[in-house]
Amino acid sequence: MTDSILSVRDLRKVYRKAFQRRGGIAALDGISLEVGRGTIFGLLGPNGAGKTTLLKVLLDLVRGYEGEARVFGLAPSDPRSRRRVGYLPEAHRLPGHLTGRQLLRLFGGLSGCSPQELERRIDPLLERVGMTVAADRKVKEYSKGMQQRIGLAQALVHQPELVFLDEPTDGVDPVGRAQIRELVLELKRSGVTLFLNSHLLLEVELMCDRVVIMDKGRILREGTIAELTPKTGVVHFEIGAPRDDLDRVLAGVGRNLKVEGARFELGLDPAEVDQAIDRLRAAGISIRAVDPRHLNLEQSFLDLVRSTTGGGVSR
Amino acid sequence: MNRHVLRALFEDAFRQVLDDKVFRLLVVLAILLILPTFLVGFTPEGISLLFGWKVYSYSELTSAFGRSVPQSPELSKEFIRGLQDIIVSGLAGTVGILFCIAATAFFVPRMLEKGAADTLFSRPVGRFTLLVARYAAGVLFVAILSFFLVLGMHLGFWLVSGWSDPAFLWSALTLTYVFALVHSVSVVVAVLTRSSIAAILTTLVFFVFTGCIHQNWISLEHSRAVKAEAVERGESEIEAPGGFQFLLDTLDVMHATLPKTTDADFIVAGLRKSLTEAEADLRDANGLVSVVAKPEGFQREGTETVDLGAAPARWIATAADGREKARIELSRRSRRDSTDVDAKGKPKLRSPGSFTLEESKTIEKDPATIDKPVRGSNPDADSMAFSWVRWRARGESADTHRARGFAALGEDVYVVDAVFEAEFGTNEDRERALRRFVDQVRVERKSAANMKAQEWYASTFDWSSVWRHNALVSIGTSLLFAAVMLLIARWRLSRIDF
Repeated sequence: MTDSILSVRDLRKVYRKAFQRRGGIAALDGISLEVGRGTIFGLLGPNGAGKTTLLKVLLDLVRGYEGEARVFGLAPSDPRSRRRVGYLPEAHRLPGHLTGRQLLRLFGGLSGCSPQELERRIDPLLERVGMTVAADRKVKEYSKGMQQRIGLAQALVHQPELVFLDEPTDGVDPVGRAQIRELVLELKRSGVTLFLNSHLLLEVELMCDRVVIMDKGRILREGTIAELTPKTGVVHFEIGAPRDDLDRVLAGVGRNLKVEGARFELGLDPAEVDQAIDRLRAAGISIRAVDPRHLNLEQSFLDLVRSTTGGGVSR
Repeated sequence: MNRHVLRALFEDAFRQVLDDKVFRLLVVLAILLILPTFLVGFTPEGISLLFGWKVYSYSELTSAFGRSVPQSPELSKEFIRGLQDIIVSGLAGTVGILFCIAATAFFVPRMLEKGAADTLFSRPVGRFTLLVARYAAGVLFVAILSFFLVLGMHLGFWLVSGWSDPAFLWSALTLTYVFALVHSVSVVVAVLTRSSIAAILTTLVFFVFTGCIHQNWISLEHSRAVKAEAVERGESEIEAPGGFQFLLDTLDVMHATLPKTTDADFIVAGLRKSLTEAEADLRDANGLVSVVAKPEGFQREGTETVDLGAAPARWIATAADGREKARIELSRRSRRDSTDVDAKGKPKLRSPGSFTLEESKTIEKDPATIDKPVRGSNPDADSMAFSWVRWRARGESADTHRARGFAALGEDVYVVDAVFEAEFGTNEDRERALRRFVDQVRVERKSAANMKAQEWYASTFDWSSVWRHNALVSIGTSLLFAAVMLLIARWRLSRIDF
């Protein structure tokens, strides 16, 4: 992949207790990954899959790993690698003694931004995350959704080129979620690379260009949304009016016909689709829509994880 | 680390401190301590309430407790000094520090909690820098409170009472210093356990424990000094180490290793002394005794340092026509009398009383003596007990009033010899002059045996003392301890997976 800003090679991390030399829990078990600039990268996996550990290794929050990790070509332990990175952790706890505005000044300052730069940036950013009104209230007085919004703002205040978002819409109401989705897409359009870790698969499906599905510290599958949601072989038809003779009209074409009023589904091979349309038209049936059905991401994810764990997936 | 990062960290530390409820409570308590200094004034005339609305003389006040204190211009200063010591060293230095330990112990564990640590440590700032910033926030917490309390009290006394010990301002710095030492322990425990409760309990125990160690060490050093003096006098021999030697060595090692929190009071006392004490009017060449200021109306000729063992120092009060109307002399001689020896043939040490007795017998035989000499014990000096003999003698033109006092100090006896001509004034005037002179006599270096352990340590602890009692060594080793604590915290913090 060209213009890669993040890469990991054969990354392994084992959590061991103090003085434990062997054994332990393998959170990452040989992960290799490369992320290009300006994409939204989704991380999926059941609890304990190693998604958060992967993010934390890249942010130097977890150390003592094996293999190679590079962010902007630098090791995570190099503070310069984090200068251009924003992070919204899952279940974050922001300093309650600060107001929203002071919080953005603190995190912007810690990322090396000057007070003048921050003065220019903070108000527009507060507006983008819908926190202008509550900007001068203490963070400890914020609701869960407000904390999430201001948390997102702190991840963006220093204008990072790479943003890790761990459950960004957690606790946010539907309107807020839509705003955050819009913000994420806006960031992508401005060339920011986003790493999205979410349990809301619909959200991932709507926003991500590429998705990695992980389990037990390994990558099970990686690809675009289209690649991860293959066609099912079932085609959905909508016709002008209900017909009782569809069995007869479509006899010998496809399988598993299911009729429901003016709609029906039929299992078809790609070559059989034209044949089915021809039969319907020859019988004088008006066709309103033809929709080849895909697996959605949730089905695809569950199928994949179940096939490796033998069921019992918790998300 | 650029200046924007430093600024952000400082602002955050400051805001964290201001947001703390315990901090606000302590500010209110400090105001309650400061307020009386603005409402009650300690003046040479007495204690005035609400800017002179009511004034009580010191004797009036103390007589209510069954004891009368004579009016003195120094008394108001003594009251102010005493109150400053009680409030700052006693109250803020112990209870206040304990409060602050509890109030700041959560700073680091809260930073290391899941969720908080992720956001903070994912920034391009070193973990140790963030830890030091939290440590500094704790120290800032105490610095603000200490300076507020000390400056407030200083201002109150200065404006309303007309005087405040300027060296008292050092107390704010030493309170912060003591807390900085103790807080380093809180930080290391917080990093190791990530628990506020563990940090509070361990630090409180440590604070009390180090206090005990140093107090015991001071007692040990004092007993060593007493023994060394006895050996020097040939009254005792150095004993071979006993069964407790291991414990004593352990105490020595612990004292040397642990931060010397109790030394802070001695450092303040030393600084106050160096700032407030004027150059002495006279110093004995042996360095044991000084006369702080010349008695009122008297003049002395000669240099600041004289050998009182060779010749007496002399203060003279003269009348308008230049005639001498009073003379006070101070001299020193050995307490050992070759005529009175012990079983080993060594001359015995004589008490001041025996000198007075012998002196009164001699005076009685003197034909110039008018009345029978009277012996007494007043006035006493700061830390020297005088034994006096008073009598009247015929002078060249008129009768003179005489007083001779003896006070023992180690191997020597100091002798005050006063001669008052009739024109000097009444008996009250003579006694006042004598008292004022004796009040100015200070013992610079007393025998360890004559002092309590704390008093002895205060007298030996100095910037230029031997290393065991040296203020710089005390501060250096204490700061080294704090630095080691922070380095341990750094080592552990670098290995934490958040």
